[in-house]
Amino acid sequence: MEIAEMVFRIIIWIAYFFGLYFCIFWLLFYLTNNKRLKEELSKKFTLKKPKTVTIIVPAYNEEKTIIKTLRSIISLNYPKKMLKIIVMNDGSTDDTKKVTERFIRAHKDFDIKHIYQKNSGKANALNNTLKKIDTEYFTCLDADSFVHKDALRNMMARFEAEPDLALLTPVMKVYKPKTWLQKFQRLEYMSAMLIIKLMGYIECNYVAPGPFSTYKTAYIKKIGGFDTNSLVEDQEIAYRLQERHYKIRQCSDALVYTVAPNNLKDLQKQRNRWYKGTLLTLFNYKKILFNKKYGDFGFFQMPFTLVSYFLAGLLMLSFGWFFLKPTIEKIHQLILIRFDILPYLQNMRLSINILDFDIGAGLIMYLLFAGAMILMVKSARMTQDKVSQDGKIHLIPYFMIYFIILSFIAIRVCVEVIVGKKQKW
Amino acid sequence: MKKVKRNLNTRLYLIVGVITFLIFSLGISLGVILDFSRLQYLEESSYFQQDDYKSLQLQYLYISGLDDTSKSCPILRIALEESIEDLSFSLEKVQEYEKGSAFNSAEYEKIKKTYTLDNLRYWLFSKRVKETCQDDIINILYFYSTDNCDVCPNQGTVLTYFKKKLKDELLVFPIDVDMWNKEKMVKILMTQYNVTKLPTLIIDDNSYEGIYSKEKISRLICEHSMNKERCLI
Repeated sequence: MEIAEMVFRIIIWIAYFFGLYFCIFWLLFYLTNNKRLKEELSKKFTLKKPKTVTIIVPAYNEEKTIIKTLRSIISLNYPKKMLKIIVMNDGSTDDTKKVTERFIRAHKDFDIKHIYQKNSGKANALNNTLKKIDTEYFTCLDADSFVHKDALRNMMARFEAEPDLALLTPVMKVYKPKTWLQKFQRLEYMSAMLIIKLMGYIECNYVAPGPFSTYKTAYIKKIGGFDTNSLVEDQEIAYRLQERHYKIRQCSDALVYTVAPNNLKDLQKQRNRWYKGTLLTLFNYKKILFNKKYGDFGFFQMPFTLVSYFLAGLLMLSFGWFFLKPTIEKIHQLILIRFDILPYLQNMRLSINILDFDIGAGLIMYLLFAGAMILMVKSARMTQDKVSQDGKIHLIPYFMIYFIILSFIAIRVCVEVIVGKKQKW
Repeated sequence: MKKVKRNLNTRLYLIVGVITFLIFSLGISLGVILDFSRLQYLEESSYFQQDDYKSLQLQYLYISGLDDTSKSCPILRIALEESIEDLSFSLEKVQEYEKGSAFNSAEYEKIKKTYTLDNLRYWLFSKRVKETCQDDIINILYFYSTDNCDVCPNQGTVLTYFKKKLKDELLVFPIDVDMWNKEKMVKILMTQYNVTKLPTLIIDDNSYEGIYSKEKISRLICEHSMNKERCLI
């Protein structure tokens, strides 16, 4: 065997090992915490004394969707007088302002404000609004997202029961997935929800999704608001809260629907920002990594995030090796015989030999896949969703192609970060 | 503000590590067992082929004593063709399995050597059968290398194509020249036919160096055929 091939095989085995490790970890952790999870999910928190909440809607050129977003807010199952809605117009150049003001005039019974600022980014817009907030809790809802009518009530009930909470994250779903790419993202979001829920049990929540994450105002003011330099201010704030040992949980009965990118270019743009932001955030908080003071967050969550980039790269590599290379070879062979495949079809030697299957590597791959499927199904059940909602056929390209696309983006980001290219957004 | 209580689930990480390690060891052990079973399978098929060869020799011995060979020759020819196809099938398997093996490379070398010898034996044998039976079979001795010849797989693809197309009218005997310093017979043949370049094809004692495309091989087959109908393909 050639040395290059040998090295490649060893690296692939290491990737299998890590992949299997994390898969088993979450499965085992799920099984051992099943009781706790069931208790939490069955417990209905009822809101006794509703508190006033500010809902910030950061908007940049959202004339098409903002009305729908505002409509989902005013339909919330929450006392009218207890809602303060602020549309933070971050220098939109389209008709966002006009559309919003028309909406305000039509809904005089609600406290809705429109604030315009010169374009300076989402984090800046949030910070400027934060200064004006006098309510105990506030939440953000991106103008491309729509909230379920019970989401706020359920979240506030949870806050009422656990006053030490600094941040509650919602269960995110893809809004009406139509294209294949959106359906893949639906599966991706859905699978992530269980793990994010479980992360709360080991104080490892690391992200506050843009749509409808709800914060305790005093705590956010205390840590200095959102980071205006970060590409992913929603992730950065979660890291900062973790750094100062605040409590973050996921609220599994607060649903929010977000519009997912429907073409590759937009997906690539979004993920580019996410992945690069993640890497830079990891780098900025490197003092937490393997720091005993931070327990599982430093010893598990951060290495887990880092290794996932490494796994993404290997996924790409093995894809090239096991799929792309043989395909190119087959096409080359077809060219050599001038595409005359008739003799092959006439002389097919059908023999299935069990020895032809690589049961060693096969066992590990099969277990890995089975583990991922179990977690996916359990996650779907938790969010009252179904894996096969759009048909089972999507699962094949989801596992085969979608992750390859994502890992391709991740690799590019890694290279760009190492080379040091700056990202504009 | 109340700080969260942080734990380090060292025990859980260790347990998961142990389980992962166990599954991994199981996977690797299965791989090793598979490798041994494959070797055993290849050795067994080699024994079966030795028996086939003995039977063929016996058939040939009987037929060569006959005055009228027209009835028996086709039977011998079919038997010969089947044996050779079995052999090339096994040879493919050896190459495929060797790729997936991390350890037993010496064992695979041994088996490859056996198959190379078998191939040479069949080549000599089929030359004799061709004379005795006055058959219009084309024998191609194909020198290649797995490790030191990048274009050889291309030649292999074209040869396999013609093999599939012409079935028992074409016999291909692939010889891996990496064997030559281990197997003197390969060295003798290479000196005899003056093989210096790879790949090289030997048809009716003529040597053809370098890669031959589908069209070129088609012409070669036509040249060496008695039946000129083959020139149409």
